[in-house]
Amino acid sequence: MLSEDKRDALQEIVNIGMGAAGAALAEVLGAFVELAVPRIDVVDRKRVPLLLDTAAWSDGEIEAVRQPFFGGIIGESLMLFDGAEPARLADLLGHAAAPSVEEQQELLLDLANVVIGACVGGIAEPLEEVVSFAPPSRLGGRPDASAFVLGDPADGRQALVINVDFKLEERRFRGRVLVFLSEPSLARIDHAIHRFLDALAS
Amino acid sequence: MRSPADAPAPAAGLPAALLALLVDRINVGIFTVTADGTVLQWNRFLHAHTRVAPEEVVGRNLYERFPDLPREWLERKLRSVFVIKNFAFTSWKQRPYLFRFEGQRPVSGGAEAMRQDCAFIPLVHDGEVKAVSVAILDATDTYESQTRLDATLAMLAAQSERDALTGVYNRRKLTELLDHEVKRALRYKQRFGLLILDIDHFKKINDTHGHLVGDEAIKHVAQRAVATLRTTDIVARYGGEEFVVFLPGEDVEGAALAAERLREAARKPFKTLADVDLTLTISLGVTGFRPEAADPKTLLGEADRALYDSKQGGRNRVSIYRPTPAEPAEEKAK
Repeated sequence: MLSEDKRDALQEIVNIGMGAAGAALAEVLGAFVELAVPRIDVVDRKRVPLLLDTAAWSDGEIEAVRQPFFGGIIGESLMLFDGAEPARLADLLGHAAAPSVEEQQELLLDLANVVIGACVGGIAEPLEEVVSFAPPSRLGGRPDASAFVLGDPADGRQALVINVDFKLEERRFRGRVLVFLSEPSLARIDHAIHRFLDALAS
Repeated sequence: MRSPADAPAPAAGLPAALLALLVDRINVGIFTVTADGTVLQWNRFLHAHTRVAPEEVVGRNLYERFPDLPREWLERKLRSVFVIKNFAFTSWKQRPYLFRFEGQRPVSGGAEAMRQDCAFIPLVHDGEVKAVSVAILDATDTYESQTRLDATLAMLAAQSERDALTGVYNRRKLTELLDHEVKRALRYKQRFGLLILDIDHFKKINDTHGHLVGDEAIKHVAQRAVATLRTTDIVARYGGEEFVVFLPGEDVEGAALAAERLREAARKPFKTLADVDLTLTISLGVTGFRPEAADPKTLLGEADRALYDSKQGGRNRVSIYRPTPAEPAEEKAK
């Protein structure tokens, strides 16, 4: 899989991407977004549920938004957040008081779209890969985030997982973005990092 | 008009003129706007549905030409695409449509206006978003399927908790509701009364009049129970000719009064489908929630014992379960 060097390089690329993403998000959302340092892991699919452990920041129901992406790199993103949060989001982002359920959902999907877009774009752009996005959709509330993993988790395939915890306005809204890159994309990323490193060296 | 979208025209392949034709003719609404809201392009799909021709809108401000658009929202959405340089989306699930297109399906019905999914596509050139194209997809079919599916699921959910003969809750739902009620009563220090009732000599009704009349007798009791009790009281068919009722907020004495009213109501004659006047009686057993009897099984056992007392005492009566200090232990031993 990804060598140590290349993983370090990818970490660097992702860090820079996240910095730019935070600034763009602040401008669009009108709220300061604090993005944690991304954690990069290459994991077996069967270990993915472990990455979805949200016990540290939520003891209630978990909501999730999913967004697939395709193009130079293929995969999907999950944005997880505490199920009690959506009602607070409108207030945080300075929207009209007492938004309807649909308005809350729309806001949440918008937030997921920009955060996921910034995260995935932050990876793809330096690697000169063009990525397109499918619309984000709600996966509904579940008591346990690992329930969002469908299909046979024991199929032995690997995935590159980029984990970014984020907070809005002093922890008043928090969530986690997980970017999963499929195994075929790994080779492509590997190649792209190689190119990127070569370009830096020359 | 040359839009930035077609910047890297391929040397071989589709000529730009044909590409423009494709964008115009595709069965998706596509328009393109600049950061200040000037419309650069407006395709045939939109022309047909809005009845506004490209020459009436291209070069003009979108919001001035369409004052009904949700301007504040749309501007924010477009701005996010210009800043983040990324796609944005809307779904009919949250926002039914961007442009209202009515009378789509005058025959087959369904939606009163076209449901729309929108994709906002940044047209990036030289690292800058020159314009944003908005693709409007007709999601009316999805909307109609989803609406039918939701209605079916709601119906199934309702059916799965109701008794088919009487329409009151079934035993499965009763168990769920009673569990919930016990937890609630414990947590908020509330009380509730519980009764079990049973039609007297039901076998004789069946043997004399047949099973169809037996069914009618069961329906009669369910109807009397629902009509006599408060809407907040829960009535469930427990099995055969047996019903369980619980009365949130009532103590055992209040529940006994309700049981008495129910006993009176049930013995009023009713007409069967064969136009025969039939009279039946019911026996009831009553208990009340207490923190020391805080589980459904114990409470049902207590009410059942009181019901047994009613049967032993000659039927057509209400008996109350009376806990004595020694009894809780005895109850557990059983």
